[in-house]
Order: sequence, then C-alpha cells, then structure tokens
Amino acid sequence: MRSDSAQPQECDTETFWFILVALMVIAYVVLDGFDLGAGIISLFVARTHDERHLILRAIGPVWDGNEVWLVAAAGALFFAFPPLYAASFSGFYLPLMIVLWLLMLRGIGVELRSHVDDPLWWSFFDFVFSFSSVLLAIFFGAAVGNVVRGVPLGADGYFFEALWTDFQVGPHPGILDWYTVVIGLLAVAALTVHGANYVALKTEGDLSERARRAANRAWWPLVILTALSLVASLSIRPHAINNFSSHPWGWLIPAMVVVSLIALPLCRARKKDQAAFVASSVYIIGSLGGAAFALYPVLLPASTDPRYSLTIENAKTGAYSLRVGLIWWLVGIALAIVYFTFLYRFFRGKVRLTNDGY
Amino acid sequence: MVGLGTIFIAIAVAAGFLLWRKQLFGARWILWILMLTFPFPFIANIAGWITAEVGRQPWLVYGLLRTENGFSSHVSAGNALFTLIGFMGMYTVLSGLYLFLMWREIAHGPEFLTSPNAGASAERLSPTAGV
Repeated sequence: MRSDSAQPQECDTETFWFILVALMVIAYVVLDGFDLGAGIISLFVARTHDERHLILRAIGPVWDGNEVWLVAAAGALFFAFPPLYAASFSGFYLPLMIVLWLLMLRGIGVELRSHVDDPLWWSFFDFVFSFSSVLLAIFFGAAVGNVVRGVPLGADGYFFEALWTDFQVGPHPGILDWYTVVIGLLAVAALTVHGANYVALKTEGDLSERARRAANRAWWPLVILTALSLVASLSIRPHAINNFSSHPWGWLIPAMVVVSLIALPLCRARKKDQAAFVASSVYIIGSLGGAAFALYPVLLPASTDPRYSLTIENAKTGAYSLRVGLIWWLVGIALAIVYFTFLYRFFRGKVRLTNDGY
Repeated sequence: MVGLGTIFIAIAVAAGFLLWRKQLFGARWILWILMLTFPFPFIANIAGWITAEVGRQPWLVYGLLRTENGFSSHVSAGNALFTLIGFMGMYTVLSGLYLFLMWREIAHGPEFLTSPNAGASAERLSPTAGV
C-alpha cells in the first residue's frame, strides 16, 4: 500500500484522474503522432505531387479526430485539476499560443492543398504542412520536458516562463533549455518513426518502401536520443527513480520501451508493417507512461522550491466532482472508442489514387 | 443581431414556400435577396458575440467573478498583445485565402453532373461558354 494514503477512497479518485489524464495525453500522442510524423517525412519520402497526395489521403479521414484528443486531454485536466490547468496554461502561455498557431497551420496545410490545380500552390502547402508538423513535434517534446524538469512555481501557485533564458536547468529555466531541446528532438525522432510506419502501412509501392527506409534511418537517432534523455532526466531529477524502486512492477514500463525499440528493426527486416506500427505505438505509450509513473503524485514539479510543486493532492477539485466526472468520463470514452473503431475500420487498407477527396 | 435573425427567418420562410411551390429558381427577386444577404449572418454572429462579451463587463462570471480578479497575473500585457497580433495576422491570412478560394469557386460556376447530356448542356450553360 502507498504510504501517503490517509483515506483510501479519496486517494483513489484523484489517482484515477491522474491515470486518466495521462492515458488521454498518451492517446493523443499515439494518434496525432502519426499525423505529425507523416508531415515530418512527407517532404523527404514523397517526391511527386501524386505521392504527397497519397500521404495526405492516408491521414486525411483521421487527422482531425486524432487532434481532438488533445482538446479532450486538456479538458479532462481542467476538470480534474483546475489549479494545475490555471498555472500551466498561464505559465506556458507563449508556447501554448505558438502550438495553437502551428496546429492551425498544420490543418491549413492538409486541407487547402487540393483546392487549386497549381504546382506552386501545392508546394507551398506541402511546406506549411511539413514545417508545422516538425515544429509541433519539437514543442510537444519540449512540453513534456518542461513538466519533467519542473517550472519556477511561486508560492501563489503560478509561474511564467519565457521562451528561453540561459538554456540552463537552474531555478529559473525557460521553455527551451538544453534538456527540453533534447526531449524535443527525441519527440521528433519518435514521431518520425511512428509516422513513417503508418505511411508504410497505408501506402504501397515505392512510397511505402521509402517510408520504411525513413523509419529505419530514424531508428538509430531514436535509440541514442532515448538513452541520452534517460541519462539527462535522471541527472536533473534523481528522485524520479523512487517510484520505480517502491513499486517494482513499474519496471515493466521501461522494459516495454526497450522491447519496442528492439522490435522495430526486426519488424522492418521481416516487412511486417502492422507490427512495426504497433511497436512504435508501444514505444510512445511506454515512454510517456514511464514519465507519468515517475512523476506521480506530482503533477508539475517546482524548480524553485519542492514545497510549491503542484501535486494531485493540492491541485484536485472536489471529491464529488471527481466521482461524478469519472462516471461521465466512462460514458464519453465509450462513445469515443466506438466512433474511432468504426472510423479506422471504415478507412482500413491501402490508399490509392482516385479522383475524389484530398 | 436579433433584428437580422428575424429578417433571416422571414427570408427563409419565403424561400421555403417558393421552393415548395417549385418556383424558387425562377423567382429572380428572391434569388437576388438570398445572394445579397450572404454576409449578414457573419455580421449577426459578430454583433451577438460583441454584445455578449462587452455587455458582460466588468464581470467574467456575472455576479461572482470580476474580470480584474480573474485574469492571469503572470502573463504580461506585452505577451497578450503579441499573441493578439499573431492571431489577427493568422486570421487575416486565412480570410484572404478563404475569399480567394470562394471567388474561384463562384467564378467556376455550378457543375452539371446528373443529366445524361451533361457534356453538351454544360458547354452551353457554363459561364466561360462563348468567351
């Protein structure tokens, strides 16, 4: 039993919500991750207009629904931990706005491309799509890095971070410092592999081959960056290992990450596209799950003074809300799962060039 | 906004009635009205929002939370201005793109897809015929 549970009933609901928010964030990264990954590789892997068209058709029916998981995760965060929502969204104000603009640009890049029959128009929106996808991956990675590293929370429970200060991980870091940039690059590598696996799965012929090669080429950077980020995380947050020592079953999570990393080139060698995609999804689930596991019960660590950290205890909403919300969450998630299953079933199979759609 | 909404209802009822009587596409007066009133929903929408947001001041949550007590204390005015200008810029570009694409679609004219001699009639009725 955990040593900090005074009342098991109360402790369970906010723990549940911690897990639920983490799950929704993970769902977002797994789902929209391959859309972003497809964007990252699109300029390299797709050489002709038709091939770029095919990549857009591969993510076309699903990218919008995938993006909504971000809104759902933020909404659940707002619901269950309002002080955390208030502190993080005002503290991360600038990168949040930039992420919003990038999401808009990514959507524009996907949707407006097919409206005009002109090569310059196509090239412009291909660039917008790719550029915004890369930047989004970096910013999302940096966001995770910020949460793990800690932010300069004050006694009033708020903070504000400039985009960068001196790139050091001290008591007053910026959004971008050496650690969060490493995590941002790790995110780019991970999403490149994930997106390339998806494109290889959904397309055929030359394009599929090039996507497989892109996933292969991105594997070594992914392994190196994973190792680097682990070392870096433990050096700036040495007590991150505590949760793993006190709950040894947690070692399964990094084991998952290692297994998926090994599985990736094996699946490639056997040309098993679906298995490769599952492996990269497992990698993402494992890495983010591991970060959440290491963080628990802290939601947002404070780099200034550990007493100011936002935890599930001091940032939660009332017990009644948490309980009732759990019931409605289950209803909502059931609907979402039904819809997503239907959507992916309906659009399963390879994409081919036809005259309609994107 | 409310006035415009009432006008919209009147126009929609008139057009619906004519559609039911299969006279809609021949009655030019209603077609002109329908075409000319297309910007007004945007105006009505914005007017409604301005009324709601400005009229609610100085409250954020009426009777419970004033705006001066509810804003993010750590986000400086400069940051807010930067993002405001950023959004204005993005929306300006987007509106420009939207208007451009709308113009192209309208200039392209309607598509005749269903009739068997669609090829011939499309040629005759297309806006670029005889140009």
